[in-house]
Amino acid sequence: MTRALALSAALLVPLAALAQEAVVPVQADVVLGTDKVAKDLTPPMKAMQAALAKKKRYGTLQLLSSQVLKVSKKSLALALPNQKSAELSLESLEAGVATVRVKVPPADTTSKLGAEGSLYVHAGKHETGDLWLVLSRPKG
Amino acid sequence: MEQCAPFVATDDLTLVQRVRSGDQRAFKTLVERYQRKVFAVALGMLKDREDARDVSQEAFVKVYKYLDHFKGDSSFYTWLYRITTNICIDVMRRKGNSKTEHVEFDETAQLDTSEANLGALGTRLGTNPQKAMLRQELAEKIQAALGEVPEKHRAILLLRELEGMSYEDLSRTLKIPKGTVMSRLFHARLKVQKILNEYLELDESTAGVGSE
Amino acid sequence: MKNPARKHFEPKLSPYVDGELSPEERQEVERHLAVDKESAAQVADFRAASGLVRLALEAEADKEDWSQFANQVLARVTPEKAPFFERLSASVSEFFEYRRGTFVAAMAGAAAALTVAVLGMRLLGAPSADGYANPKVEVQLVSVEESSTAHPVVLETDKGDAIIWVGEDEDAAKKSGEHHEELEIDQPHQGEL
Repeated sequence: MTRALALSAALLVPLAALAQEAVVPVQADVVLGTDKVAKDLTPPMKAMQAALAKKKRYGTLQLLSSQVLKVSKKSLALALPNQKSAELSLESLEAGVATVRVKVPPADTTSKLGAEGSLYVHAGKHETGDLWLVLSRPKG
Repeated sequence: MEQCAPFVATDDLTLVQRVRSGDQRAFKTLVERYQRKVFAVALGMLKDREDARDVSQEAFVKVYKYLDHFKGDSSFYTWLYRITTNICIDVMRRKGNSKTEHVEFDETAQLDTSEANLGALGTRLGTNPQKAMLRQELAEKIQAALGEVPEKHRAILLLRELEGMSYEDLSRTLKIPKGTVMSRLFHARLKVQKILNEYLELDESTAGVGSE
Repeated sequence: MKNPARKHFEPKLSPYVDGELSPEERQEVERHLAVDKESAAQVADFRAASGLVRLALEAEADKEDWSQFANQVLARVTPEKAPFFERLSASVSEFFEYRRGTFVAAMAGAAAALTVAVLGMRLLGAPSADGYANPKVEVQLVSVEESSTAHPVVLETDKGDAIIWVGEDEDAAKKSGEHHEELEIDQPHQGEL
């Protein structure tokens, strides 16, 4: 049984590696930042508030949507609530470092993802605030 | 180019149809779209965070379970809020914690604002609620004030203030005539206004609300 | 004692604030408000309180942690339909505990091996598995469309975050001849540009 397991593992590792070669899971959150004052934010929103404070301090950060995307070389379009669309694609995956291209008109950005940090991309105005696309490593 | 599920652009009815055809992600999108609003309604009704969270979960579970009963003749959120307020009312009755449950306004009674300190609220708070919201006590007082409003009136006030539901939608959601909507809303507002006024009068000696 | 006009108009003040009156009724109410201070004060009160309820409750809703709520609801409505990979990620011991038949065990062996392989890659430091070998996010390039006057700004935080702000900038608008705006970096930037 143990041998069978080892054999299965040996056969399946390259397969799994191959399957993951060009696909990177990315946690994609859409957050609305407004001046509206909220007394207490959730811990993730508080962390975002602190990070963005270098540019602008929002009174409220509201998580509108959250999902894990499988980003590959094939461009992936993400509709945003302000009628814009974000396009995500994987530029490269070298030595375990994913370089991702994110296009949110009018900007076109290319970044290396990081295990500890988040990439905050300003996605324009929405209602009375600013829309942010937040990319990070999926939790769990 | 591969197109992934849009965040908000997809309308509720399309999502409902997708859920019916077995798309779990569509249901998740609906839950994420309305979870905060449903919770806010439930919290306004019940005043207890845990209860409100439980009710919110229950409301979505019911929505999923009875999705085939949703005819689409009203909007999805109207249906969702009707389910939410009904569960809230059930919870209140089960717990017997609604002091005001049996206090019903006579819809035909003459409206009495003689005791209200008219204009005081407007003068003190101005029309910038965000500024006034800087005072946590005021937020707490608003919740307490809501607790004093009879449950049927509270449901109307919450749906109007949180969702901006039209009188027509309120009438459909709560299955009451439009005139009753108007009357209950007026009474509910007077009640909240009176309690807030009392709070502001007490507060006058310390610091002016909205003076930050 | 209320004057008769006020008595007549009072029930219409709440629908007036809500924009639920017909244009004719609305005009009537406005004419009344111009001459009746009490009714005008009542309207001011309704307007002041309106929105407070929403703001108070929405602020409370924002305090909640919603990250798992939708999943909890989904778990309740579809307990039998756990996602394939979630099931696969179950520990090997659990896997065998529930599957004892010879054929099932063989299948489980293969699946468990895959689990071991996937978990191994994740846990035993094979960073190529997910693309997050870099501890920090590093912005490589930011450009804007030729027609845009937006001015991109890149910031980095101590915690490894990167912020790309694309605000409209009047100065940038003046420099309309310059395309593909340069990065403005507020902190030493580690990435290659």
